[in-house]
Amino acid sequence: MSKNEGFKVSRRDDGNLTIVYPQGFLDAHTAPDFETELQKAIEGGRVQIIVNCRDLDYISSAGLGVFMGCIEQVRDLGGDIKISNLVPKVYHVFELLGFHQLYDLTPTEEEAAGKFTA
Amino acid sequence: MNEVRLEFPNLESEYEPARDRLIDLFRDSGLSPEAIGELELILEELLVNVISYAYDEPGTGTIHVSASVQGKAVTLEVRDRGCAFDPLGREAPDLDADIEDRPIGGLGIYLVRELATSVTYERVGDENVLRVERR
Repeated sequence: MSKNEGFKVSRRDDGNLTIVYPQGFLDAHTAPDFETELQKAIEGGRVQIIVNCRDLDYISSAGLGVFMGCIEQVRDLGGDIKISNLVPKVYHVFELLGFHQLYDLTPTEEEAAGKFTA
Repeated sequence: MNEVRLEFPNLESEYEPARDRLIDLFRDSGLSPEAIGELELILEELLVNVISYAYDEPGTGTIHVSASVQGKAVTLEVRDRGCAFDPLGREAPDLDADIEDRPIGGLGIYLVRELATSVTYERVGDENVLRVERR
């Protein structure tokens, strides 16, 4: 759990959608890397963003703060951030902080993509 | 009862070794992976905060952490000699507020309060003492 953590983030563009894949531990130490990746997408005009969390093992308030910091900007630009594939432990943290009321959380990336075209 | 006491300077690099020592204690005490996961979150929220904000300059102060486990009950105590600061003094974030009205700060201590059974703060002499219990 805590001994072999690390954090990686990758990104894939698919038509108008940008899918971001955070992997590992999103904590106070790694949150800036995640923020940089999201900001790169936004600054490139990519504002229909799905964050697929299938490989995200841990998130703390610092990681959630990145979502909070970007969402207004993205929505002001006519886009959104949808979040998919949360593992139960990470979903629990989103839920405790009421993020399920602020963001579309979907079981799969495909369902998140569908919300952009709906 | 299993117990660990740690003392380290307020440097970011001290967080991970401290956390790992405490996680080892929880694991060796037979706590469930779910409990350990929640305790790990509590530790990050408490320790990163105190390392970052208790003292004005990095490496100029000392942080004391003690943790004990008895059965499934965990007690954590974090002490520093920084300026008096009660993290529980701020209002809980309004989780029903619209996104533009929700401040980013304050989420960490809110999470700790949600995950712990009790959280108390005391100023004792020149020390901030934060105690967290999870049963």
